[in-house]
Amino acid sequence: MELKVDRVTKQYKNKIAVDRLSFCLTPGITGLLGANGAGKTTMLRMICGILTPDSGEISLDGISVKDERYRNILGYLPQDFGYYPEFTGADFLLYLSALKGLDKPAAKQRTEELLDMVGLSDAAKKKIKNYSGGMKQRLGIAQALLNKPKVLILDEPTAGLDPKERVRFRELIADIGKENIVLLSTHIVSDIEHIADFILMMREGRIIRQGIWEEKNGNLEDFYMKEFS
Amino acid sequence: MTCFQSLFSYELKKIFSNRPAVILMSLAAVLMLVLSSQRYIITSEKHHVPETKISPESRMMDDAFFDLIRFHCGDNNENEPENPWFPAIDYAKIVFRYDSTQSTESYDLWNADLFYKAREQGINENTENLYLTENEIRFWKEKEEFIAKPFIYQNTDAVRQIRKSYQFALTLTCLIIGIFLSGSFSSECEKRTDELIRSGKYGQKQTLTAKLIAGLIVSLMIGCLMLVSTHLPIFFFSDINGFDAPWYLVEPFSSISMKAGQMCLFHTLIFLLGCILMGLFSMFLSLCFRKTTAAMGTVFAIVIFDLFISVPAKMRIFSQIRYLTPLSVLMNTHAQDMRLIKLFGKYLITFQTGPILYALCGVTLTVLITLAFNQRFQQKE
Repeated sequence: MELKVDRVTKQYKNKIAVDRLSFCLTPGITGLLGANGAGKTTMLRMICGILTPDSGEISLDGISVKDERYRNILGYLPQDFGYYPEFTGADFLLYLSALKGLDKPAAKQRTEELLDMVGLSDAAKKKIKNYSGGMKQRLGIAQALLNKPKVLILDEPTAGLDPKERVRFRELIADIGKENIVLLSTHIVSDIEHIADFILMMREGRIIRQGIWEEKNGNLEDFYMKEFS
Repeated sequence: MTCFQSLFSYELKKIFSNRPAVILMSLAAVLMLVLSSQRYIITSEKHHVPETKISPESRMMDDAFFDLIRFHCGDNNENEPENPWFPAIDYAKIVFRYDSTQSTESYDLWNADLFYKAREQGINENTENLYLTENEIRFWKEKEEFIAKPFIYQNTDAVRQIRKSYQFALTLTCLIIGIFLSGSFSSECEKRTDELIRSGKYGQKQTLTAKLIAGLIVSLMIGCLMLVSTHLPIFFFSDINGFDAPWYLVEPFSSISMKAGQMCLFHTLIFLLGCILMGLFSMFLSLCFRKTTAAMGTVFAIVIFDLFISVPAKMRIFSQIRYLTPLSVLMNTHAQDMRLIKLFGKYLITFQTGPILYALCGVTLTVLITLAFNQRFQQKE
């Protein structure tokens, strides 16, 4: 399984958000690091097929990201996303299950599993408008995992989570990353420092560094601070 | 339940989770019920109704008929719905008092000859006001020749009340549809749920279809609720009669010889197509503006424009197109739009042109919505 990004460019008016990016992702966790405005979110949107590049191609084993077959195995947690305040947590997951093509019994079972996994079983019947920020973020993580995705794209997934939840989340992602492609975008180095198999660093729409971060290279956070300060 | 059915049911849930809109719709339905019923419930002080076994029903509308009208309306009770002659008086008044300059306001002057002359004069005035072409005048004259005179009277009061209710009901319905559906797409942007939807397997074609069908069904449901609210009291309080009468016994200046029931079906068809069009239009605006308030404001502005902005009949093409909107076709007026459209060598009246035009507009709007939906994430943000 190989997710190939080939010379992808995206421009907004006078600003080039992503500039001829090329890389390949294989099963494992890839950490995407970059300061705000580096083009990370634009890149992730294009990988999810919800934003069309101006040029270049993105495909998974030859299947275009615009294809329904690709979306069938995709899990996506956007950075800035919303909810239906009048829906309960369970309703929200059941709706997104239908969007991801799960039939009713499978959707119900997966919803219960995931609510339990993210610690929201007790709040399943509560309306989302009554959820705290952390609970909403956990619900967002749960929705990204509904279809047991082979490609999981996470944009700033730990925002709003308390330290304990962060650790739990990292363990969960490490487990998923054993067999699936996980691309995790963040500007919090500690989120990926110990679990990422591969690092991509972006600045002004370009990749400034890609590869495996080895101990001999020193501390990732120090390197990041030096590059982006 | 398939995924599509689930998507559809959740789209309905999203639409009806708009509490203020649901409350507003309920209030509008109650308002329509009250307005339709008040004519039958609120009656003024009882007057003496002359005891008579003479019914106007199936009587030839000749001089003897107008003598009887004079007899029954000369006792201050012509406005009493329980007066069996009340609907006949009401019908005659439309003709005799069509133009306030007419010298036939007084009941004493009413007779058959004057009635048919006044009716002809009204039709001719309408012909002139609308700048009809020779062919159109010929068309209506041929229709008129088929109408036997004197008329055989039938009580069509219930049909007339139903006809009167369509325009106001559609106005309210359009506004409510606008409130419900102007957020159907834009609220996904505002709530920032659009990315979650688009990244799902069924987040594109199926979601669009589910949204469209849910929007159309909601539009029709609101339309049906409003129709039931306006029609039910009329059916309940008055005798359900007159549907087999010719249309000119409902609208005296009309030369349409179709049955009143058929014309009511045309009215209902136009009403429901109007609801569908408004639903599609609201959804289209919702996609284009991506702001619920902007879409809703535009819907309101267009409804108000449709109600109050007139285009002089002298500007024939513009005027004819402008008055083909559902709200205008259902306009509560006795002067019918006599302008015709020639299609495949046959002249069509507005009630026939309207549904064809609305079907075309509906298809066009559906295509535009599909294009706009597909373009949405390809646009530069």
